[in-house]
Amino acid sequence: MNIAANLTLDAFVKESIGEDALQSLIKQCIGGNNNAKGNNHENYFAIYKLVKSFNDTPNDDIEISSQDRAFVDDLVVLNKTKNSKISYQLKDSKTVYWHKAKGISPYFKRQYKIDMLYYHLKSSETVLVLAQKNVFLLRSKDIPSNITSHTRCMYFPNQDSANKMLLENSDFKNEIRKLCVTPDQTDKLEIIVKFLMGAWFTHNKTEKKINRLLELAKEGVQPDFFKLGINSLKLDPQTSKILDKIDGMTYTIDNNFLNYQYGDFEGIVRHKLDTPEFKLLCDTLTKQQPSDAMTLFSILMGSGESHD
Amino acid sequence: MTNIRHNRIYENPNDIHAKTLLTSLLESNIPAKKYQKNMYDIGVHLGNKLKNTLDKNKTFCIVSTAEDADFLAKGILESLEKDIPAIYLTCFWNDRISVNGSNVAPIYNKYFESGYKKSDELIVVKSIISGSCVVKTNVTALIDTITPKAIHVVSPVMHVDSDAKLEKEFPLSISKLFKYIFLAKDSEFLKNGEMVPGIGGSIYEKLGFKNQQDKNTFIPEIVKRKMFSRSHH
Repeated sequence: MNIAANLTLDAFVKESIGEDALQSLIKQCIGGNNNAKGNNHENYFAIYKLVKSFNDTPNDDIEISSQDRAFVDDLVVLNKTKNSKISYQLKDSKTVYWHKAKGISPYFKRQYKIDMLYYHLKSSETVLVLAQKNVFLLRSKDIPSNITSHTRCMYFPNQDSANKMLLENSDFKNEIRKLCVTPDQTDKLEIIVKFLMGAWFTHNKTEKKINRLLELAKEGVQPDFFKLGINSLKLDPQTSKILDKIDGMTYTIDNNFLNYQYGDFEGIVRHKLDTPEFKLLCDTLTKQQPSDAMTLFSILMGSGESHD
Repeated sequence: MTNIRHNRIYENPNDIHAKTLLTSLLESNIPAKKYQKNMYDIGVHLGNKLKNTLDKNKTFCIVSTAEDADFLAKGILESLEKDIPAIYLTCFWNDRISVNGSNVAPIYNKYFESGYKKSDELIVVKSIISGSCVVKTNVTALIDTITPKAIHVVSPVMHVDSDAKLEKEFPLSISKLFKYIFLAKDSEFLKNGEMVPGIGGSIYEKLGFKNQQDKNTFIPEIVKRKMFSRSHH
């Protein structure tokens, strides 16, 4: 991003777009910060874009932010590697218009101008994200011609809970699945969403880098169902030998978790292979040398300390 | 008999047997064995109520937690299987934890009896429903593989808002399937989050487990029997 020489953003807006536009920008920024508190729609969308940006281009330098000083400011995803930006405006309302009173098209036009002429971005896109399906269909059809080159609409419904978001929004769920050790188990995906949400709430005013926000979401989490970026560890031979003796049981190590199955019964050991709790479990197995499935399961199921 | 001062609403104020059974749970210092038997008896009573609402030609899946399986769920199962030939059992071992201020109930172990996918309807069993977190988690885990036509939530005591809370966790296509069979609804909580009069305290300790961790090392007898009769013999 190569900012226009010797000008602040406010000065650029005043000079290139006008005094009214500058006053509108200042008012919008104050209003946006007040409205941002506790808005589920914006928060779920931020999590979605954060994770999707990482999944799509893990090696790019990407920043994500909300309520920046901008005309389209609900969420901004800036790809510094590609010098491109997508600005999202979110609306969970049945009355959203491009042109009528409080219509949003002038904001989209101004934002594009700032991005291309002030920030000198290689590309800039403005996106209207709508929570209501019928509004999405209507506004998709009547995007004003003077902003169509850089504007599109997107449907992202609002939901009451993380569980419902995962059940209703397959795009959202698919992105979260890519971060999770057990991508087919919604209870684990829900926990990932809650930790991501916690990191976003806590750090979105001070941290913009998506890689760092993901690191913050993973820091010290318990239970930790985040997928690893590295290959799994292996069980120590002594423990393997004990598990191999149990007739009818199969087991796998996936992302450092021990999963086991015995007929219609299955489980996952609470603690990862590289934790002190798992080491304790291995010591117990070595000491007790369980030779039947039930004794083994009572040890595997109760590993480590309680989460209470 | 305990003098109940809390705002309890009975599902059927004329059901004297239900009142007696619920009151039996509130007895102080009740031995675990007696509490387990009381919970089983409540299961039988709820099962008999539920049975009248079911189409006996359909296939059902009982959805239980590990702690309820040998007592409440067993009572319900035994009262139903006299008249309904096709009932499968699923059992979940959940932890109940708080993540960033909200409750979640991750599943660490599960037992899905072979054939459960054929079930037309779910019968979700829970000894007490206050926040609905465990019920939500276990129903969600099953609807990934089953498309039920009805979900019967069966519990001795529910919080007055728990049905609304549960339904908010699902799309309309699922939430419209919920039906509730209960004996009473409570509305009061103690500072520690325990619903009162509820079921007389923490279900784990009342049933004789030391704590959550302890109940999660335990495989119910009803599950063991099915594991060994169906899978390995």
